[in-house]
Amino acid sequence: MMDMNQEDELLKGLFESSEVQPSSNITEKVMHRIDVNPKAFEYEPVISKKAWIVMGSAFAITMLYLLVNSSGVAIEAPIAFQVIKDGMIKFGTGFSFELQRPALPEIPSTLLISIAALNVIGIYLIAYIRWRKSMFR
Amino acid sequence: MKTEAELIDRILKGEWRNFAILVDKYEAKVFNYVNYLMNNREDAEEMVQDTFVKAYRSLNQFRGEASFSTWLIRIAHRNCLTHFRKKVPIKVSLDNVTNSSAGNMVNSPSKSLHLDDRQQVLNRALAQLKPDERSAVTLFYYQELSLQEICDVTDLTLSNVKILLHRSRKKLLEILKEMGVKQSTL
Repeated sequence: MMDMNQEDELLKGLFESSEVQPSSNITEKVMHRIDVNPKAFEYEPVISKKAWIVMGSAFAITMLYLLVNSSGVAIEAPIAFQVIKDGMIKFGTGFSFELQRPALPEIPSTLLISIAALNVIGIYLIAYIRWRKSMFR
Repeated sequence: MKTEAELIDRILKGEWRNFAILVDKYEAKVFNYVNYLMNNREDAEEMVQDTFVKAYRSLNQFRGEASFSTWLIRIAHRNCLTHFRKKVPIKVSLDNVTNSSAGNMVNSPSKSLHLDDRQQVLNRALAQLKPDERSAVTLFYYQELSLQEICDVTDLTLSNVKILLHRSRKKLLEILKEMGVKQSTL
C-alpha cells in the first residue's frame, strides 16, 4: 500500500519520464505564420466590459432616480377596491386612486450634474490608466 | 541575456523575430501539455502552433500578472477546450490497452518499463480520464503549477480545482494499478 507522497512521486515520475520532444521545425512554422502579418496585434478595447457595466449601471440608476423623482404616477382605475394610505389598508369608496410618489430624499440638481460629470470623467480616467499601464508594462 | 519582460517589450516595439526565442523556450512544455490532453501528436503539433500564433497576436494583453509560461498554458488550454467542443469524441476500445505490449510489460513485476512503454502506459491511462481530469493532473504533476495557477488556467474556483484534482488523481492511480504500474516498475 503506497502512501500519498509515494503516489505523488509515482505520478510525477511517470509524467516526467513520458515527456516527448516536439518536431524540430515548430518554431520555424510559427514564425512563418507570424511573418505574414507581424504587426497585427489583436484589438484590445480601451474600456473593458466591466467598466462599461459599472458606468452603465450608474447612468441607469441616475436616470431612474430622475424619472421617479420628477413626478408622481397617477393611475385612473375604473374599479378601486382599496387605498393604501399611511401603511393602513382601507377600502375605497371612489373609482380612482393615486399611487403616492415614493418618499425619496431630495437631491439638489447640482449633485445630479456632478454624478453625470463623474461618469464622463470616469471614462477618460479608465482610458488614461489603461494607456499608462500599457506604456509601463 | 535579455529577461522575458525585455524580450516582450522589444517584440511589441517591432522586433518580432525575438518571438522565436520564446517559442524555443516553451514549445516542449506547451507541446507536452497539449499532447497529454489530446493524445494525438499531429493534432498536438497543430495546436501548439495555433497557441503560439494566438499568444503573439495577444502579446499586448500580457500584463505579467502570471508567468509567461502559465499565460501560454492558459491559451493552449482554451484552444484544446474549443477543439474538444467542436470534435466528435472518438471511442477508444479498452481491449487494445490490455492486449498491447505496454500492458504485458507492466504486468511483469520483474521488468522495469522502457521509456516508450511509460509513454504508452501514461497515454493509455490518461485516455480513460475526461478532458478536465486529464488537464488537472497534467497541470499539477507535469507543469507543476500551484492550485492557484491551475485556477487561473482553467477559470475554476479553488474548491472546484481541489475536488477535480482529488477525483482525477484517484481515478488515474486506480487505472495505473489495474495496469500493474507500481513505483518499482518505473
